[in-house]
Amino acid sequence: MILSIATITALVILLVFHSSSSAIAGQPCSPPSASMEVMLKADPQIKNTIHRVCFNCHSDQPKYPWYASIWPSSLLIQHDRQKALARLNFSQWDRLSPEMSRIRLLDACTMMTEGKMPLWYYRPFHFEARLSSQEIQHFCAWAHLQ
Amino acid sequence: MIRIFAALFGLSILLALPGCSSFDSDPSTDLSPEVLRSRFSALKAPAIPAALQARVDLGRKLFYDKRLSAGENTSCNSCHLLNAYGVDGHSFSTGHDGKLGGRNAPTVYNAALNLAQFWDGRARDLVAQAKGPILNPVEMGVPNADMVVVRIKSIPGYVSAFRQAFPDSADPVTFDHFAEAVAAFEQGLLTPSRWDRYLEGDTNALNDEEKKGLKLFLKVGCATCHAGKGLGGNSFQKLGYLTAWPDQHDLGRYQVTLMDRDRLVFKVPTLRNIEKTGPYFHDGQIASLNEAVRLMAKYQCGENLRPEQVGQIVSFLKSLTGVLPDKYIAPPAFPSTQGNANTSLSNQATTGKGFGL
Ligand code: HEC
Ligand code: HEC
Ligand code: HEC
Repeated sequence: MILSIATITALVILLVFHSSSSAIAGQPCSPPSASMEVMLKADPQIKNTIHRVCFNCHSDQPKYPWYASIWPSSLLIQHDRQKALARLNFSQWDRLSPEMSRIRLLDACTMMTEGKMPLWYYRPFHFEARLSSQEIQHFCAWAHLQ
Repeated sequence: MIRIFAALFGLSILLALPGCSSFDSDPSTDLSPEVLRSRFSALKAPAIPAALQARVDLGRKLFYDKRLSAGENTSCNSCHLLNAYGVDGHSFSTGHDGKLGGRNAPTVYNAALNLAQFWDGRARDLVAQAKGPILNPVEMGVPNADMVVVRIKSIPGYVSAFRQAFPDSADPVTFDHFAEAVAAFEQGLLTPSRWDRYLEGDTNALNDEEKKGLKLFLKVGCATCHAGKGLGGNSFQKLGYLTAWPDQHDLGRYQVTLMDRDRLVFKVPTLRNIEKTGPYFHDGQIASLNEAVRLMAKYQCGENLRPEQVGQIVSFLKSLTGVLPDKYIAPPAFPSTQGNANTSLSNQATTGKGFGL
């Protein structure tokens, strides 16, 4: 009995340790000066919107919930993040030309307007990830000016 | 506690989902030109301002002139053949930067659209770029900028050509002006294609197979990186996004920024004329365009495409092949060396023979 509890505990610890080292460590970070909000001097509301709603998947600075370091959610989160970062990374805006910056922002506006982002299955676990229509309009109006 | 249960419940649903394509987060695959224009834009044939004509003409001569290299045997056109879509067809040209190991010569067509020049973006623009090859020891190999000027001045015809090209300058023959003239010529190397007619609204400009390919191109996610006017050239991206790229020799942009996050990051190349600019990738190791597309889908998008899907994307890519501007790239008459005496460089045979153009 004691042995099996010990084994299970060890296993859990192992899993947590293993997955946290792969999921959380992620990629090396970009300097703050490379982020979208700094490069484009985004206003505080836009900053707040993307930090609150998009940054967990689309930036180098995710704020993970506790279950992000436990298998199997760690695996899913890591997979999502990889796909998400390949498409859009707010922390690496210095890699984009002005033309590409505009394309990304308009894409982001479209995804929010059509309710496709943040991903639907993310919302139930993240009460902070609600977008008001005023927020979306504000973001889109600004994106169109860039 | 309730949240934990909810989380576990949600996760189990998630695990049961077949794959990413079932999420409605897929990129839009609307093929109407109007919608496409939010991500792509049409390229127009260049219009050279009259005031720049002399500079462009000078740049064309410099681009083709082998006499400017140390061995008098290499011009820009040796590696960027203008009548062959701006490439030489080899995996490696002798590299601009020998110590980095070989890189494939990218095309000079539409390079004016790039956010920076070279695979790693180490030159800010075409002017900065043009100063590289002529001084590079394994390249055109002139020892320093002053020697370039000496050499140009040794060809009397060039002195007057520089004067015309830079009329406001007291001392027109300079290394900076050399680079500006070459860059001015390269600004005109644009190749609009059927794709641009499609974007402008002519939906018959692409056939059905090409439209299927375009749809896949969008759906698989190629347009995340290959978008805009050049379908590339407008961002730096990691090579091997979802799976590690096999060839890890060349660290790409890391060599410029020394930031860890830039390992294996490269400038996304333009896909215009891609049918004609093989072999592919910075190491020039892939000869077939179909194989290049298959690898991109796998490593950049995490999708394994079937051969017929790859074929459709390739059909679409072929619609990006433009018509070469024959008149614009016609080899010019070179200023003659005649009447000039005594720089050691110009004493060698420089009659202009062997410009295999
Ligand atoms: C739970 C993680 C998650 C959150 C939160 C999230 N995204 Fe995404 N996003 C993804 C994933 C995963 C993809 C890639 C989808 C695919 O490849 O099918 C993606 C793709 C995108 C794309 C590219 C779509 C395309 O057509 O190429 C945009 C734009 C985008 N997200 C914007 C946003 C914005 C804006 C927010 C915040 C309002 C946001 N996302 C929040 C996970 C997320
Ligand atoms: C011996 C072959 C060779 C010669 C000669 C040469 N180049 Fe290149 N060129 C290359 C290679 C190889 C690269 C890619 C090097 C890299 O990215 O590190 C390149 C890159 C470029 C690029 C960048 C294109 C892009 O998409 O990033 C331009 C523009 C260019 N060359 C123009 C010129 C001009 C102008 C000259 C003459 C002054 C010239 N080249 C002479 C081989 C050559
Ligand atoms: C995440 C960004 C990204 C995505 C998505 C992407 N590519 Fe690329 N592509 C690149 C980069 C970076 C390179 C340059 C690779 C190198 O350094 O050799 C490249 C190179 C290429 C080349 C070779 C170009 C040349 O001149 O050698 C082709 C062809 C190509 N991509 C087609 C595609 C197709 C088709 C898709 C969709 C299946 C796609 N790419 C998706 C970033 C991307």
